[in-house]
Amino acid sequence: MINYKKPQILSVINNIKKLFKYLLINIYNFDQKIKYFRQEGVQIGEGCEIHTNNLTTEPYLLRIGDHVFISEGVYFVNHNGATWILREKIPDIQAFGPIIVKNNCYIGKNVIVFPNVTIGNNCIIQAGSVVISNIPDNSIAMGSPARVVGSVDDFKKKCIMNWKKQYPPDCIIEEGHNWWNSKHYKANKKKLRNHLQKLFWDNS
Amino acid sequence: MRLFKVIGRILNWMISLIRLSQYNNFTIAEHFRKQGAQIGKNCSIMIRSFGDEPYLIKIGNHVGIATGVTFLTHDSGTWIFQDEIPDLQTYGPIIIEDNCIIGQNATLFPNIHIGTNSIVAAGAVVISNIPPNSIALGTPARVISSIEKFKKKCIESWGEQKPPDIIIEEGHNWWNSKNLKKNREKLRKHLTNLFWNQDKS
Repeated sequence: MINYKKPQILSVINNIKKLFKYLLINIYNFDQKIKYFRQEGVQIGEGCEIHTNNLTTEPYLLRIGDHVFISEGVYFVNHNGATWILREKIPDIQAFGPIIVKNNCYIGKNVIVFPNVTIGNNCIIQAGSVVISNIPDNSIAMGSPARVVGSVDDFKKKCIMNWKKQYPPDCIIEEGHNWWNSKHYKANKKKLRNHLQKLFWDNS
Repeated sequence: MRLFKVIGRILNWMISLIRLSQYNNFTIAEHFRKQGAQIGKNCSIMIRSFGDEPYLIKIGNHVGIATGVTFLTHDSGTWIFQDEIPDLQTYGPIIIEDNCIIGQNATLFPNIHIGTNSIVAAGAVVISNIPPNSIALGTPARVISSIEKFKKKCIESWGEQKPPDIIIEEGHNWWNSKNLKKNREKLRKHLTNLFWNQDKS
């Protein structure tokens, strides 16, 4: 059998390194996280937002396109750990696979993506799904295993309908800015809260 | 300047941890009520964050929420239309009625209503309404059985698994009785006998 024990001093140093890394990644905002992941070897396009702390296992096997949003708890698995059960007979067997995320995608909370998967342009992967096969362009996928449940166009219509109702009538956004980078972000959020509370609970 | 920012962020993080550590699973409801959530009595909540819009969450009396549960009160999938419509967003409320339990790592989507006395199993992703008195499981969550069957099963199995010599005072239950630790030891002995046919004490 393989001996997994390391010298004790080395393991202590490793633990301190891990702790330091853990602290740093918790403090980083998404820009710094993207820088950090690029240093590790992930190919990340422009205009992305990455909020997960633990992105992949093999950073050099992951390619992310432009304008992709990756939420908290998303994990790209670039290897197949199930080769563990073959290792009694073939001690050094491993299996790897690349993952490609194309442009303009949204990946929801706690999604797990398996190796050898390509996620197409303009896709939405809903929260909590497990992606084991390729996702075609312009589709919404969810579930475990992830299946295509709808097209982006229907979703867009629904969202525009909803947002007309839910948009607080008195919020102010400067020209050339959007909801998130406008100077009135906090005031707008308060207005949104009042408006939504009236809309859903009938009290302010 | 950058160092100050980093230190500030570390301090913020530590302060939020310390602030949350003064609450336990039963008193954390006060913290969420301040943020605008509507929570009933006797709730046991093991998570420390209700997401970005806590004011869209309504929870009844005697609801249990396990660790790792996420409440999604918005759909950020609108991200992919940001080029055309810069500020498109959608929101939706989550309503949980009385006497429910939400299992570990479950995810609740916007615009759902979970009826009274229902169970959402661990790891479920709830995208539609769940009727009262039902058990929902899977991603996406489906109703797999009713509470009555589950109740019968539980009562049967507890008949076998209940240690014969435990002491619970009147008016107390398993968790708030004074003999909880002793009872747990007795339970351990009984269960190891039952399942492994050995006594490890």
